Order: sequence, then structure tokens, then C-alpha cells
Amino acid sequence: MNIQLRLFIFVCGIMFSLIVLNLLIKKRISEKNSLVWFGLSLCIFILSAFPSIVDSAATLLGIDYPPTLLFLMSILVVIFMSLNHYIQLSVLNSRLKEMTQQVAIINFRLKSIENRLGYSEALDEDINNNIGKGNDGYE
Amino acid sequence: MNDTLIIMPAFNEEKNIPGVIKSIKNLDLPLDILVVNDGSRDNTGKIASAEGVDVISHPCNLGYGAALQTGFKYAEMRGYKYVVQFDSDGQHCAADIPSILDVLKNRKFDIVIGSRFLGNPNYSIRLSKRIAIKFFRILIRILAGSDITDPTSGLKGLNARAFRYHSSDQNYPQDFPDADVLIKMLYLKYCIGEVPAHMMDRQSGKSMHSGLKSVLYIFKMMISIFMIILRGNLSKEVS
Repeated sequence: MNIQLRLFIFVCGIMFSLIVLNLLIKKRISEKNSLVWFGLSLCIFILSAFPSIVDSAATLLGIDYPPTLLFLMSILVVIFMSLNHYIQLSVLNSRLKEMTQQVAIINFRLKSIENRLGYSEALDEDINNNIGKGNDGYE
Repeated sequence: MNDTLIIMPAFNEEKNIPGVIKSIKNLDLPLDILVVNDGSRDNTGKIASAEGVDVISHPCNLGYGAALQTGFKYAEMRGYKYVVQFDSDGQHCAADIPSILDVLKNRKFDIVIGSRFLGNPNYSIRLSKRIAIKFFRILIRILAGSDITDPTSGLKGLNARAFRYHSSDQNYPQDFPDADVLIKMLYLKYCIGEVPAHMMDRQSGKSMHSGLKSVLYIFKMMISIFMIILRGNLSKEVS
């Protein structure tokens, strides 16, 4: 592996870590989820520092053309992450289902109570109008 | 409040639902009716409300199983003793409700299924559906040792013990509860019985199962059943 390529991979690693760090600062990803991405950028650094690792690993696994090992590993990582996303989606979906059901039931009970109290839509408007008027508590 | 709740999951059934509600009301039994409007895009909710029944509306479409589960949760919350799940598309016959409730209350069953084949083995349905039902029937007999003639029937009566189990989060499939739920309930030692029931063709609109979807559905069901067996064996080993 020539020096230009190693430098390129190293820069990619740095960029990648900076993006993850930036996302973390902006709270776009959680600390827990950031671990795997930092792990990935660490792998990029190690590979750019010691590219011979790929060659020896390929020899060990009986792969004739070492770069294919890199492709194989990247595809495996992508598949693993995709599976991880599926898991998170399922969890979110079941939580969303639970929430929706609860919201529907609570809405129904709220309306029943309102009906029992004779709470009409006219009254609703009345209250909304009054919120704007004469309420200078926050000013 | 009566001790029995009829749960009717409904998705875009504005044409069928008034007739179905009327037919249940005409029975003149001490029943409460709850329509779970599963995010319909038409006026199902309003029309059902106008018929004078309780309507719980999901803000978005969750699926048939989830709509039923909302009904179970509500029944548990309000302390109903029995529920009957009844499709709002007009394929179930209100006249079958009394016999289901009678068996449920007097014969110590936890779940009573309205079977279209019991006492009427020549009931005519599409060949593909007949094969699927036969297949699940044999599967249940092999796996759980019970002969259930109509495992895909959506007309069921449940007592509090059964619907309380279903109402808990992970215990009920979000899409279509079917043979998998029956096998699980049999494994958990719930008593399941059947009574003869009449089923009619849909009055309007399109059925839930059709074409390639039904093939995928059978595969999904197989995975689901396999998981139930696997989890059952695992929990036995743990305990």
C-alpha cells in the first residue's frame, strides 16, 4: 500500500471521527450509539497505520487477493448495522403501538367525561378565546 | 354497564358497520358494543358513533390484531367479564352471539370460537382458503392435541382470564392473530371450545387476505408458530 492511499484512509478516518463527534455535541446521536461509530473510525486508523494487517489476515483465511477481505468485512459491518436498525425499528414500533392504543383509550375516556359534564364545543371555543384575553400574567 | 362487551375492530367500513351494529342491537341482549376504529380514512368512526355505540379511534392504522388488543385493554380497564370479538365487515352473524356467550358462561371455556364448519362440513369457501384452514387444523392437532375445526375464525368469545392475557403488550400479534395464538393459548392450558356459526360473504369492500399476500401470510404464521414452540420449550428448560 503506497503512502498516498494510507494518507487518504487516515484523512477519511479523521473526517469520520469529526462527523461523529459533531453529531454527539449536537445530541443527534446518543453516547451509547456513538460507541460503534467510534469503534469503526478506530478500525480505519489502525488500518491506515498498519496496512499489513489486511495482508496477514487474508493469508490466514486463505484469501488470494487481500483487498477482497476489506470488501467482505465492510459488507458484514453494513449487514450487522442494518440488522441492528431492524431491531431498533421493531422496538420503536411496539412502543408506538402501545402509545397509540393508550392515546386512543384516554381520548375516548376524556370525551366520555366531557360529555357527562356537558362540555360542548362552544364551551371549548369560549375557553380558547378567554386564554388570549386579559391574561397578561406572562408579560 | 353490562358484563359483556362486543369488540368490533373496524378499518374503512363505513358502508357495512351500521347494519352490523343494528343486527347486534336487535338481539336485545345485555351487551355493550365497542367499535375500535383503526385509523379509518372514511367516516367509520362518526357513523358508528351515530349508531349510539362507544367508539375508540386509533390516531393511525395499527392493524387488526392491535385494534382487537385495544378493545381487550379497554375491557380489562372497565372490568368486563366477557368479550366477543366481532368483525365489522358483515361476515359474522349476530345470531351466533347468544350461543357463544352461553357456552362461554356455562361450560367453563376460556375461549369459544364460532366455527363455520361445525355442523356444516360442506360450507363452501375458496379452495385456497379451505386448504389453508385444513393445514392449520392439522398443525394444531399435531402440536397441541386439540381439534379446532375453524382456527382462522375471527368470531370468538373470551372470558376475562383469556382477554387479560391478550391485553398485555407482547402477548398478541399486531397484524392477524390466528392459529399461532390458539396454539399458544392451548400450550398455556386455556380451554378452547367451538360452537357452530354462520359466516356470510363480505357485504362491501375488499377482504384482508388475497393473492400473494396469503401465501406470505402462511409462511409468517409458520415462523410465528415455530417461535411459540421454541419459546415454550426454552421456558420449560429454564423452569
